[in-house]
Amino acid sequence: MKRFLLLGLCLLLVGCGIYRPNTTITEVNVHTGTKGITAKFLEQSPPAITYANTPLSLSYELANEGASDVTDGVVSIGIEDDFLKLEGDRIRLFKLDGRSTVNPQGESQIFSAQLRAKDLPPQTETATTTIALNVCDTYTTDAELTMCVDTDVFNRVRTKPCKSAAVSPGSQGAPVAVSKIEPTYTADADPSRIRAAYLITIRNAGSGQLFEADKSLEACTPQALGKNSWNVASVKAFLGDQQLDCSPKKPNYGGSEGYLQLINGEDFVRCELPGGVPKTAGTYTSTMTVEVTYGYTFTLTKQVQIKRLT
Amino acid sequence: MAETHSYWENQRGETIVGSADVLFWITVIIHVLDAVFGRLSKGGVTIPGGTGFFLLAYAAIAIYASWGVFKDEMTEHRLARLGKYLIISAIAYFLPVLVNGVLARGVGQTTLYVIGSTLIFAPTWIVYLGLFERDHLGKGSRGFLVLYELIWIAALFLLILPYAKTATVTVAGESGAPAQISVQEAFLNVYEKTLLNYQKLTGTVVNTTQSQIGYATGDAFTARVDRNAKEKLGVKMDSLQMTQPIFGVNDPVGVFTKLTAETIDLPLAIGVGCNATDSKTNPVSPRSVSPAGVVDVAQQEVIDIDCDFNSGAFTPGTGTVHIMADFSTATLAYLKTYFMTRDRLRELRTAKIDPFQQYGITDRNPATIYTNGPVSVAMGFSAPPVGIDTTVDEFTGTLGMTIKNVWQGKIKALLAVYVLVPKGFTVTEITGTTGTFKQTHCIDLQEKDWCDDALANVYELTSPGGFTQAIDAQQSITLRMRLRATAADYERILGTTPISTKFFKAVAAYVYSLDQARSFSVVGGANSSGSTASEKVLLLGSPTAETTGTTANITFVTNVASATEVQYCAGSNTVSCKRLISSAPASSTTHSHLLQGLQPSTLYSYDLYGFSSACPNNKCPLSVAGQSGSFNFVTGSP
Repeated sequence: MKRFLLLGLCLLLVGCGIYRPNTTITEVNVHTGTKGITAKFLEQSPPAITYANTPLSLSYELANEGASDVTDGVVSIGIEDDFLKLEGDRIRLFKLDGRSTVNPQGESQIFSAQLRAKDLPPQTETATTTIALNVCDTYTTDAELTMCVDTDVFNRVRTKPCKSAAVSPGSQGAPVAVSKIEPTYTADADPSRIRAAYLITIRNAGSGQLFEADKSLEACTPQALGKNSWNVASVKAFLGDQQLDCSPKKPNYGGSEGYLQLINGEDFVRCELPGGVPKTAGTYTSTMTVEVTYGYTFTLTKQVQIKRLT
Repeated sequence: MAETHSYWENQRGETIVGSADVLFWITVIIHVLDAVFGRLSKGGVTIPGGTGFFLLAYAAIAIYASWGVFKDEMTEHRLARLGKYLIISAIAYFLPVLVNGVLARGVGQTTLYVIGSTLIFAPTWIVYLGLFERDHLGKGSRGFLVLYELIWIAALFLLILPYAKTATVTVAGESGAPAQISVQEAFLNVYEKTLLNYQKLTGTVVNTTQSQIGYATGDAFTARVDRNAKEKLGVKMDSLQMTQPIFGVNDPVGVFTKLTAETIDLPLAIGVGCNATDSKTNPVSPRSVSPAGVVDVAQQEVIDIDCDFNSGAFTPGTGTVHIMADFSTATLAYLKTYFMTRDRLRELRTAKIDPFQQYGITDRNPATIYTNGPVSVAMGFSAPPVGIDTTVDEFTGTLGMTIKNVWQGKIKALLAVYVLVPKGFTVTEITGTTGTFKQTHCIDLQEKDWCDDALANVYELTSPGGFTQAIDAQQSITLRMRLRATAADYERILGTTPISTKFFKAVAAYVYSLDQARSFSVVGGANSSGSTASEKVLLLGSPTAETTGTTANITFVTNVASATEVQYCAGSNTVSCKRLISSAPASSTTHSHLLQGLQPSTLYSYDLYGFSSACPNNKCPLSVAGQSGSFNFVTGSP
């Protein structure tokens, strides 16, 4: 009888959750790092040295190491036709999901193609040729941070729940980063409200170049993208659920989006809260979200030495 | 034991700056002056005092080192040190002279370039102080040396280790874009750039193929030989050797040499010829030439060439013989360039984006690469990347080409010149020659494997009255071709990538002639009519020698008229020395030989010979009756 009582007590304890395994659930922050789409040649593919009139493989891995999904990725393969022959397409499209709580590594894909080294010129023992991968895609940077909104523009209140200051949000899981947000709160013509404006600085933190979003195919082919299509990005900003009005804007385009033209890898937009903030709101914290959209391209090259088979 | 005197020491007694450091930095300064304004500079010696400045400077360094730095109480030790340091200074002083004067005539330009560069980076005194006197140097000098040595060690490892050839490294390269190249290649690129920058600074860039003579169109184009090609590729003929130093008129005259051919692919067909002139410049035909006709010479083969002339073919005096080797071969060249749409190029430049960096191109301004051999072919096109305006119907450009004879032989004739332009371009005009051109196909090229009709349009340039003329050593011709592409061709040229790489290629086929010549002496017969003496030539009396510091006049009398010869050398006998020869081809009974270029106050020995058919090999050793052995004289004081 005692045995049954003991067994029943054990079952009860376990069932009530007194025994808990030593595991913890942690939330992964995918919005870190300055990488987006990355590319690398696989080991020995292509090899550093090959021989004339022999096949060689070209394998490369594209990975999305950032936090944004890519749906219009393009990779174009550049080879020197006088030295190499490529079997298959020179242009490939790809889609790769970014890092997420479900897939914290991000999606990756391996592509392969077959090459053949051609004959070397007579009296030539070796030649070096270059294989280039041009990668283009549209990417989005999402920065989310807490902003202190202070309607006490003359600083008359001694004790406030937060202090308004410039914020540097750190990396956001994309090659283009929101590097700094500087708030400015000033008196409005309407004495019951204040004006809230934010200077948002954007920086190219990667080694590639920005171009106008949704022109990935053009960027990875010889086509022209159009005047002022390089080093540009569009910016949307929200304070809470209210969209800010950003400027400068893209020429001949309306809306609230700001338009950046990076010089030396950096530029800023000024975004203002339409209508301002009622003074009665006091000093409070609010979530600010900045969304930067741009095309991004980079080129990876590898040199292959072709030797004569003797 | 040598001691040094420290000028400044720290609290622990360690030398901060000592007299050895002063010496060290003086040698650095002198070397820099030598490299920038002195013998290692292409501009020549521009420093006041000329080469004398460096002679005095290196002598002063040696004296300062032995008396002012590495002191010793004993005078004999000090003198020994002075001798050693003078030798080091002599090496430092004479090495550039050796490179510029002696090696420049005997080695290839590439080797010379390497030696010259090594001298710049490995100065004698600095190397010596780093290896043997390091303990006497202060911290600053030692730090400098450590840095210097680390660079050398890294260089050696990167050049020698097999790992360096196969392992790849991702580099930003010249443009900053990521690129994977071998470790060794990365090192060589850095070395080349460093050297080039240095040479640009000092003006010591040696462009071995820079054309000196262009044709009417002026500009000449430069190229570099394939860095990976074998240095000795081509055909080389050794100096001519005679079967004997002096010939009698009745001797058969023989000459021989060696011909070395190095090829990778096809054997070379080499035609060997021989001719001569006698002392009156009358042509003399050979009795036989071996090998006769045309001979195929394949990879690294050596053939012996012999040329024989009949007895009596040459009159007494000085004859000249030539051996010629003619061969047909071709030089292949290619020039890489890049094309983009002009709008894309403008977009990037407006956005201050470097197109080379953006697309990972490290070779920003490629030079023409040509196969090693006697002729260089260089091409030039618009500066890359070439922007093609796709909004207009036509693109035009000019391709220039310079063909230069870079060896010492002669281009007897250009057989054919083929130009391969990227598919999409057509040649519309050619200037710089009276010739014409016609479109052809790869099948017409001997090097058809290198040619692909799908990638190139092939043109043959023909010019009977123009460039088929002979081109002498170091001479060149320059041609210019007008190219055209229409809108329908743009896609083919631009390809599917943002920047396309295309190649202009050229093949120059030619007959090249190597010619070696040599003079030789033919001595006459026993009388003035030139008949051979039938009586044995004997010495009458003893020879006399009147000497100065550098000359000796040997006079003697023979029993019959004869040509004579004096063989002489420094030393007490003529057996174990390298003999020099003085010949007197004219027949006479009184003889006088003036020997020049002698060393002062030196004992010389000599032998005398007369020429007669009565002696073995027509040569009669002359000696005083009843005696044997050489004669002697001593040169005077300087």
